[in-house]
Order: sequence, then C-alpha cells, then structure tokens
Amino acid sequence: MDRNESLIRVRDLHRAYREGDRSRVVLDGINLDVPQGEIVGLLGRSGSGKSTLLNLLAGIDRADQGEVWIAGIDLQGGSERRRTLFRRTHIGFVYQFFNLIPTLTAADNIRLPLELNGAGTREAQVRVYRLLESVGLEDRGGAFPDDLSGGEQQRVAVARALAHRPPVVLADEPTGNLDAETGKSVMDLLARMVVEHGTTLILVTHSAAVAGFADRCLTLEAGRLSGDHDTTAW
Amino acid sequence: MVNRTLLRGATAFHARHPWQAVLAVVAVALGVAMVVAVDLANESALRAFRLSAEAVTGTATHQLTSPPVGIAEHIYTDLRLRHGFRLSAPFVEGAAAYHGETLRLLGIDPLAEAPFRNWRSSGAGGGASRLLSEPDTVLMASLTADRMKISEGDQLNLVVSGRQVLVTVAGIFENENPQAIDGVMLADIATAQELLGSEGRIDRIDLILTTDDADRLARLLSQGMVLEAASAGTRNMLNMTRAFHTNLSAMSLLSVLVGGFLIYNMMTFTILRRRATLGIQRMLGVTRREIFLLVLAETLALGLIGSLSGVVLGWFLGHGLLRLVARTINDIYFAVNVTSLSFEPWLLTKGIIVGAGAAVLAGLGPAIEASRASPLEVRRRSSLERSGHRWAPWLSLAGLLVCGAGYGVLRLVERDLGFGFVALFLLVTGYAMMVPAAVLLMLRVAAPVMGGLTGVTGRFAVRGVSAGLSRTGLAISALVVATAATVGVGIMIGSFRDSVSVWLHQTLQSDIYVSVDGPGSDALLDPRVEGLMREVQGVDSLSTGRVVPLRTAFGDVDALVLGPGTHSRDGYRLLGDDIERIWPRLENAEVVLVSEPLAWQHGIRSGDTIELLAGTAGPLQVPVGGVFRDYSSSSGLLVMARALYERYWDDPGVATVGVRLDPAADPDELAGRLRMALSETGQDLRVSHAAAIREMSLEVFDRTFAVTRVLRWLTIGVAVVGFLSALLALQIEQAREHALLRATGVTPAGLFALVLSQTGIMGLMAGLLALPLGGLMSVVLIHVINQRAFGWSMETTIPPEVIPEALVLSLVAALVAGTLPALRMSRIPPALALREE
Repeated sequence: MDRNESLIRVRDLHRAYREGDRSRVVLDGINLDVPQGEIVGLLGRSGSGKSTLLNLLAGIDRADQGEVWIAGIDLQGGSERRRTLFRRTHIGFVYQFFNLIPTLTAADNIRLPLELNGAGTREAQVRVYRLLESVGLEDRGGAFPDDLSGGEQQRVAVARALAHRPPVVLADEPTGNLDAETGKSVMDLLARMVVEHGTTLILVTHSAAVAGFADRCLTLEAGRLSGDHDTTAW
Repeated sequence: MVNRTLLRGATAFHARHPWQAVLAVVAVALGVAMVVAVDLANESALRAFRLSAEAVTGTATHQLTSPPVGIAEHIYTDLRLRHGFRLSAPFVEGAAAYHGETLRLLGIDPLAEAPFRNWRSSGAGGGASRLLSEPDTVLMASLTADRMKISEGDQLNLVVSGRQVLVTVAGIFENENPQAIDGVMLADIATAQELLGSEGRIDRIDLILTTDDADRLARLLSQGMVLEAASAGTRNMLNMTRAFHTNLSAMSLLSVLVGGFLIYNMMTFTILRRRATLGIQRMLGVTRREIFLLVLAETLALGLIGSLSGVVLGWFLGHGLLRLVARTINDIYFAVNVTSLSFEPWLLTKGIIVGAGAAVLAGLGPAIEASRASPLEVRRRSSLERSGHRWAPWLSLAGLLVCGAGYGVLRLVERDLGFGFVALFLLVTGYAMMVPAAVLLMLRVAAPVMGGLTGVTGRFAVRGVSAGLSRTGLAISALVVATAATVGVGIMIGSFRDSVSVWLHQTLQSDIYVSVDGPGSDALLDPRVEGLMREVQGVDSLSTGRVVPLRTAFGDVDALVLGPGTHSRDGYRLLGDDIERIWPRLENAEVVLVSEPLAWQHGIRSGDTIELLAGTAGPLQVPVGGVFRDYSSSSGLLVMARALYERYWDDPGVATVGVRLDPAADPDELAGRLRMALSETGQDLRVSHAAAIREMSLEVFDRTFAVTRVLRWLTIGVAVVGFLSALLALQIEQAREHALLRATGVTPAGLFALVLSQTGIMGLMAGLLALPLGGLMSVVLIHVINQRAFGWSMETTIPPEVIPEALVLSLVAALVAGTLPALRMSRIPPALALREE
C-alpha cells in the first residue's frame, strides 16, 4: 500500500450514549484518513471521546452512523465474529495500565497473538525471542508481569502489540502510568518499532512530549476532530 | 455493636452483587433443608410408631409376657380372680391380610379393656358387645374402614396364617388419635385365638400396678414369665433403628459441611473485592474489631436467611424422604404406618441453629482476615492471592494434623458410633484442607501438558485456576468432599451388596423354601407339611426353621430354631472358627451359634455362655459354639437346634421348610409336585425358589439404600451451587483479562471454550482428588461406621463403575456449573480492556 494511500478511512462518524433519559453525543461527525506507517497523536480532555474513537477503530464498538474502513475492510458492516477476526490480524494494542495477562509469562503474553494467528510453535518461539531481544528483555521471558517493573511491563506490551505484525497499533496513554524517563524510553521503543514494521500508530496522549513522537496531532473536542491534521485527508 | 453505616455499606455491596450472596444462601438452605428433612422424616416415622404403640399399650404400667410361647390362659384367670389383680387385660396380636393390605388383628377382652384403652365403637348394640356375643366378628379402625370402604355388617375374607377366614364387621371403632390405630382390627380374644391358631395362649397381660403390686406380682411369677414396664418394649424397638437414623443424620450434616465451604468461599471473595473499601475504612479509623464484627454479622445474616429458607424447603423435602425412611423401617425393622410429617418446632429450630452456626464458623476466617489487613496492604489485590499460595502448605499441614486427630479418635474410642462419625468428619475436613496445596501441585504438572496441547490459551486456563486459588481451591475442596462422599458411599454400598449377595448364596442352601403365604413371617405351617413333603419324589433332604423371640440376660433376641438337613451346615460361615468342628455339637443341642451383630453388641465370643430364660426349666446356660456372619438382622440372631428348643420350650411347630433336591430333579417340576402334595392341608403356602428369595432380598437391600442415594445427590447439588458461586467470582476477577483476550482477537466461542476448559480442569482435579478421600471414607464407613452401627463386617469390593463414575460426575458437575459463567464471560465486551482502572 502506498505511503499516501489511506490505511484508515473514517467518514462522518457519530456515536452517542444514553445517560438516563438523555443522549450524550461523544463523536459528532468524525472524518479521518491515516496512511500506512503514519504516527497520529490524538489529544483531548478526559471524556472527550478518545477511547470511544479507539474502540470504533478496533471494531470493538459500532458507530451510530458513519463509516470506518481499515485496510479496505468495512468495520461497520461485518458481524461480531468478523470484526473479532479482523482485530486478531489487523490490530495491536498498547494500554496505559499495560494489561498484560498476569497468569502468563512475558514470553507467553507475546506468544498469545501469534498463536491466535496460527503461527507454528517454532516460528512463534523464534519471533517471541526476537521481540524480547528488540525490547531489551531477552533474559526476562520467563518472568510473570507481577515480577516486572512498570517500564518492563510496557515493553512487553509493545512487543505483544507488534508480535503478529498488525498494520495498525492503537496506543491509549502508553506512558500515562510511567515516570518521565521510563515513558520516554518506552516511546522511543514504540516509535522505533512501528517505523521498522511500517505500522500505523494511533497514539492517544495528554503529554506534549509523547505527542512529539507523532507525525501529526489531532485534537478531539466537543465530538469533533481539529488541529494539525493532514490536509490531504480532507 | 456493628456500626450502622458500615452495615449499610456492606448491605449495599451485597445488593449490588447479589448472586454471590444468593448462591451462599442457596447452599446453606440446601444443607439445612437436608438436615431438617432427615430429622423430620426420622422423627415422624418414630413418632407414628410410638403413638401407635402407645395406643395399643394404653394406660398399662406393666406387661406380663412369656416369650416365645406365650402365657397359658389360666394364668390370667388366676391373676385376676385368685390374686386380685383386677386391673389386668389379656392381649393377643397377629397379622391378617385383606385386599393386599396387612392389618393388625388385636384380640382383647372387651370387658377388661375400659381402664386401659379408650376404644369408642359404633354399630348396632355398641359394636363391642357383639364381639362377645357373636363368633367371628371384628371391629375395624375408622380410618382403615374409610380407606378400604368397609361398613358395619360387611363380611370380609381375611387371610390369617395362610388360611382363608370369613369375619363379619360388627362396627367401626376409633380413639383420640385415629392415625395411630390405622390398620388395626379388634376381635374378642377367643375369636382372635381361633383365627391365629393360638387357642389357650395369650401373648401378654397388660396391667396397671403400683410399685408394691409389681413387687408382689414379681414374687408370684413362675419360671419363664417376665414382668416389665410397659414402655420397655417400645423403647427396645426404637433403639433398634437408632443406628439407621444416625447414619442418615450424618449424611445430611455432610451437606452442611459442604455448605459451610461455600459460605467461607463467598465471604473470602467479598472481602477480596472490598479490600480497597475496607482499607479506606481502616484509614478513617474503623477498628479491627468493628470490621471483624461487621463481617461476622454479614455471615450470620446470610446464614439466618439460608437457614430459614432451608427450613421451609426441608419441610417439603421431608415429605419425600418420609416415604423412603418409612419403607426402609418397614423392610428391615418393624411395621410403621406413617403418611404425614409431624410438625416439630424444636427440629426446625435445630435446623436454623445448625445453618446459622455453620455460617458463623465459616465466616470466622474471612472476618479475621479482613480485620487483620493493614490500611496499606488492603489496596493491593494480588497480595491476597500470594498469601493464599503461601498459606496453602501451612493449611495442608494443619489438615494433616486434623486427619491425625481423626485417626487418633478412631484408635482411642473403639466402639462408640458417634465418635466414629466425629473421626470421619475430622478426616474429611483435614483432607479438604490439603486440597488447595494438592491443586497447586497438580497444576504445575498440568500447565506444561495443557500448554503442549493447546498452547498459550491452555496455559492461561491452568494458571487462571492457580491464580484464583482462594476461590478455586475451596470450590474444588467442596466438590472433592461431595464426590468423595459418592465414592465412599458407593464403595460401601457395593461392598455391602456384594457381601450380602455372597452371604445369600451361602445361606440359602436349600433349593426350594415352603412357608405360609400372606402376612406374618412367623406364621406356623400345618403340622402335616413336613411329612407330606418327605413323600414327594425328588426331595433329597429337608431342613426346618422358625424364628422365635427368646429372653436372654441382655434382653429379647430373635432365635432361629433350626431343624438341620444334611445340607444346612454349608449355610454357615464362622468367623475365626471351623464350622465342620462345631456343627455336630449344634446338632446335638450342646451349643448355639450367635450372629456377628449380636456378638458385637453384647461382646459375646466363641466359648462364652449365654443365659436363656427357658420356659419351665428356669435360666439355661448355653455355650456359644461360634460367631457366624449374618446380614439378616441388625439386632442380631441366635441359632439353636430344634432339639434344644423343644427340650426346654413346649412349642412345636415350624414356619419354613427348606428342600434340597435330588441332583437329577427339575426344580420347577418339583415345585409343582410340592404344591399339589401340600394342597390337602388347606393352607395357602408359598413355594419359592432360592433364586427368587435372593433376588427379593437384594431388592429390599436396594430399597434400604434409596434414602442414602437421594442424600448423596443432594450433597452433589450443594457442591454444584458452590462451584457455580466460585466460578462467578472468578469471572469477575478475570473479566479484564478475558476482555483483553477478546480485544486481542479471541472469538466469543473461543473464550467460551477456554472458560469451560478451565472449569473442566477443576472438575477433573476434583474427581482425581476425590478418589483417595472416597477410598478412605469407604474404609471408615465399612470397617468403623457399619461395624459400630450394626456389627456387620464385610469384604471391601470396589465396584468397577465407581472410579469412572466419580471422574465423570465431578467433571459434569463442574461443566454444568461452568456453563453459565462461560456463556457470560464469552459475552464480555472487549472495550472493558480499554477502560482505565
């Protein structure tokens, strides 16, 4: 896919939630185009709808109106199962609270998306080791999340997000639970790896420093996107 | 006192997460329901028997008997007229069959009855007076008459002692408790004697005596007469069933134990979920004591709600159990007619106390845990699980000590049944305490295996069980106990059944048995029967038998009076002795044999001497030749040769004749010839093949254990509820991880399968861990409980189906309980993983 061709295409996206008798509009006509390999920073206040937008991009939630296309796949039209399988192959996640599975070792956490995508045992083993090596944790593969520091956990989360080579990684405040120094090293890693893999990264953050890693930044406010957007998308 | 605001907070928590509390309440309710139902059914059956016995005993203070022959009629006349015991009444009792129902035929002297029993009869001329003036007349109990549509003036064709007799209903009678006399038919004593074939003899004389009168009468009595308090007979009968009722009660208490696990599980879980809140409360200055009392108050409240619901449920369950309990009592102890459950407030109160008490005991641990947590520590979720892992080995050690205590109780108190159950409960509880550590060990083995088979998701399933050990460990423990109970009871019943089957094959040495058809197993055969049978071609050898009650130094004992045939010897297996050596002495009337239960109950050994109260010869000392294995009676049996019996008791007659056939004879053909030859006696006789008797005996055996089977299933039901509760708790804890799996691309079906495989692993582990405990329980049940309760020893045989059954049962129980949580977890929104904590 060409660098300038849209990997993510969002058109006139609306999403509202019911709160008692009232309806609260969270997304009010979002339009967005993100080409392959681009890092997009998504800014906005708490409750501005950033996580809702990520959910819609991941196919976890459905919009009330509008279209979401990722890699040519219509996420609004498919069944729950189809969207799950899409997520399995196309999306990687990095969360603020790491969300590693505490009962699995670091290596197993990375291995999980590979196995879900049908990787063979040997192939998975090699890939897991390479990823651990590239995030600097080649000697911690057997450790459980509880035994890792916050920075180490987030490194494992980054490796897991990229393990199955998804075209899109969604990162929700990936440094929000880390100190500034650790946060920077994790962001260095994440940015380096998405560039290496040619992955598109949607990066939700409050931090100006983290936003600095983005090719461009968008602000979500009152349900609409604004800011330093790429004009080719409009 | 518990702080009201804290209590409101706790109530709000349970209201917001109602299913955990509801399941705990259901578990307690089921446990209490079983206790209440068993108690009510037991008590109602016994109460019905007591009332019925009291209705027949009336106001008599004493009874004069002369077992087994009965009292010569003239003694009654002498007592009344010569010695002035005017408050006396003769009594004869037997059984009669009418339209398939067995009725009690009581022979009374209507003129002597008034001080004893308040029979109120209706009918022309008062009914009762017709008994004296008209032959072959009876009065029918009102309830029986209503049920069988019998009216005054009806002529009834009864079967008494195998003979058809025609009687006329002179009237209907009742007393203040018609239920207690349901199935009773009154006749004048002369009529009853004639119908029962006991002319000139009465079964007992009822008396109203002062202490002085009783002493005076005792001095007048001749050899063989027994004067005792009127209540003694009823008490002895009720004592016979004590072990049976104790066994049922123990089974019901097991379900309370399983319910207790559940309360503990639920409270630990709620504490875990409220740790942050508790931490804040501690930081705000709530004392440890207040938190302790708060948690305890919660468990008490849940226990009380569960107990009250259990009492209501128990009332309904009791109706079903009553039928089974009454049938068993009728099969193996005595006739009891009970159709309704009696309302016993103290039993309901006991149920509430047991349920609430178990809840409070189960809540102590979580309450202490909640109160000990420091304000800082309470905010860390994983600390509890880690401490759970740390505590598992210590808990095992404590469990080992509890098991040791159980073993010590077994060794120290060797005969008491109650202590036998205490030991069993200690062993079960101790073993259950070792289950969490065993689960951890098994998971260590299972993780690589599952990983190898299904990859990361398999390892995730296994480790999820290990990570939630504080809940999964307990749920598995509860299922282990319930499954082990089915294994233990299954092996015990299987071993018992096998032993009984082997014993029946050995005991029933004759090929064909002839006895009187109809009610009353002690009805005597026509004296011509034996002679007629000897004439039939194909008969090789005959043996005769009759069971009579004999008075011994330690109470009444059933004695089998045996007229041995050449084949009879092979029917006995002596414990620790050789029958070949003893048999000639038995035949020569030198020794008697005692059954194992009789020997156990009275500490009788081979070579001891038993004192029998013989008819005319006074106390008779008879040596015991040996102890034989016998499952026919839990109250014990004594075997003596007919020659010995007839030497001291003037009481000829046999109730059964056993026939050993010529090897060449055809059993069916010979049975036909016997029937034909015996038809001239005019008596209705039953000619049965040994195989049919064996089959019928095993049917009775199976019916006896029907109650146990029902209770076993209910215990499993409690465990399933416990499992469901634990899995729902796990669902909440693992919700985020499951959402993460969904977000990562695991489909709902994949997640469903994953969760179900997790519960399957738990069920399988429970099944595997239940096997050793089940084996241990069976050993205690067979060699301690059965031995102490009934005196029966038996060979242990493990029915082949027991082990796979246990594994399948626990697996299915876990999967049944796991289906709902698995369905709910598979529907978990993946967005949950993206939500901030």
